[in-house]
Amino acid sequence: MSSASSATPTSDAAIRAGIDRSLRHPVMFFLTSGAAWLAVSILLAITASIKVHCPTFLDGCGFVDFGRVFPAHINTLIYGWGFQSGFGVLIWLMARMSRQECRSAGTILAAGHVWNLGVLLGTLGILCGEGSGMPWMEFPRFAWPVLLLSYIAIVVWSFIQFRVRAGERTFVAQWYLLGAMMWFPWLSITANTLLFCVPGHPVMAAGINAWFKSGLVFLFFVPSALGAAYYLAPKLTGRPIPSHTLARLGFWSLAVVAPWAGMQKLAGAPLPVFLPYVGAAATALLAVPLLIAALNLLRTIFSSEEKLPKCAPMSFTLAGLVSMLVLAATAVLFNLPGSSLWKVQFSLSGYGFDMLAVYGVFGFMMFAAVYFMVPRLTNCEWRYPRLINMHFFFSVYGIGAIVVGAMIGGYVHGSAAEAWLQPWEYVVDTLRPFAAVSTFAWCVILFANVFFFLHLALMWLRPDRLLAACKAKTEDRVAQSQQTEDPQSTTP
Amino acid sequence: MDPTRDNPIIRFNTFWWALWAFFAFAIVLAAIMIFNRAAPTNLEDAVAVARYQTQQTVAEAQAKALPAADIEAAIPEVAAKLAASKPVAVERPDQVVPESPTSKALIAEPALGPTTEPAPVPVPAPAPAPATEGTPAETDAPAPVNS
Repeated sequence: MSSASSATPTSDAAIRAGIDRSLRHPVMFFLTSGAAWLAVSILLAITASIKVHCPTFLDGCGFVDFGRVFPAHINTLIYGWGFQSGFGVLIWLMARMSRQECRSAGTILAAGHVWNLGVLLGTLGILCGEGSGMPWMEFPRFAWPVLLLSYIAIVVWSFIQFRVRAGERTFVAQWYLLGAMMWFPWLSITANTLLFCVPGHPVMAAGINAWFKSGLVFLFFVPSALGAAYYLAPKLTGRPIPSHTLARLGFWSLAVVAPWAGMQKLAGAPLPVFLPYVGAAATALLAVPLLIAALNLLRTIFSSEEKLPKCAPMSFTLAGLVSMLVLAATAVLFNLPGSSLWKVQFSLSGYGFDMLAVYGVFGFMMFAAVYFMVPRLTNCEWRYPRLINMHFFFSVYGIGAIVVGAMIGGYVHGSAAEAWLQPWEYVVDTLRPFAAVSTFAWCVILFANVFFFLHLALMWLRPDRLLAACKAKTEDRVAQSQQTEDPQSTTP
Repeated sequence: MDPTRDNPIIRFNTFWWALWAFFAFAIVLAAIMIFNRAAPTNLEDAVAVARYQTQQTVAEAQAKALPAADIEAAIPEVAAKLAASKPVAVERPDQVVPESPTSKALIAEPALGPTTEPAPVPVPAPAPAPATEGTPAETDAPAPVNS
């Protein structure tokens, strides 16, 4: 990626250092609290998954019913980890590419705390039985204005940085990041107004909810992931993006097609019949922008004549791109009306698809960005490379097992549900082995992510520096007290 | 970098433009909802008119068949009868809980006193089957022997 700035390398390095300094605490706050929420979410996922194959587990506690734990897991994953890691990466990338220091770090940090409070209260609301019952929107009503206002207070400064950026040209990564920043308020305001403020027909509410969920994946998570990937791939390989035309085609096809997707979830429901079919067609068509972006980025990475750098950002970027190719294939395979759609519509496959998008594509790209950004923000290299390797392999293994298990299991599950002569117990029995695999895989991911969180917290808080400062202070005090006790000792 | 591009006025304007852009969606949505309040005229609504009429007819017929005033008038009489009647314990051996003291007492009772079992009722002989032509109906009885 070429620099848009006409500054000399030395002054450009000084600008970058200034940007990193100005954003250190907001970005590290978002990344660390996001990692903490991720650990909480995985813990809830393990509980929910165990309850599928062992229903008597914790059956005496009403607040950890499957109907509460599962939505709590999904919502903490999305709003606790997904959005917060997205904020951290988004505001840092936009500042870096615009070559603008952040002048509102305090406001962003305060808004970040409000966001966390909203997520915490929303999660407690779900566990106390006050959830709305709409997938991915289960937080009680009071949480949505809080989240929307804090979102605006966090990202509005990135618009200003983009507007007053150095140089005229824009980067591909900036298109995607701007798109993600703009599209989320559209989704949030529209869905929340139509569902909570002026509710209409309940069937249409289910349709709006399905549209919101799909929009969140393809209009916030996927563009954020692509923004990070379009920044990291050229940075890590030192090669420019091979085709800007393809990149432009990928961006605009995503922007045009993605808002139509989502309603295929309600195929067969009493809705205008074209809506589910348009949703299925749009989701299948989304394979085009995903394939374009993935192939453009893979060409960037593999066009380098030098050996690829073996580092965590590169590994996670490649894993994210492979997940994107799988997501593109799945978007087509699972949305064929008349064949697969009926079987996977209400099955475990939906969960596999969501995890592939949120964790496989978005999560891996965010991990890549985190491993790239944090040494620059803290001015310190990662301390335990083994932990990073472990995080990578366990995450890839875990999410691979969950996605493959959920997708195959979902197809089996859906086929069993269609066999209506069988008792429903038979359908439940088909799910058990896949749920057991999912439990084990989440345990593996939890193990890796607890260490990821601790590693991140260590990088931010730098206990060694704090200890050194404390030690220096103590030594100063000891020296001063010795001087006051024995003032003659310093005299020759 | 263009030095005139980054100044407080541009930053201030951009801030408000960004806020406007965020809430423009809400404004457009509100406009659509305000100007799109016509009553729905689809097939479902046309059929619903007839269904509501039927529901009203049924409700009126029910109200005529059982007027509320008659019910109110009957209440004192029925209530007095109910209050005067005394509840009587129902003794049905088939509803006794197995292994309970009552059950054991009932089992022990025949051994102590004379039998209370009713005499067996003679079973009437089965009527001869009507002679039918064609294939005989399948039964568990053995096939007739030709002599």
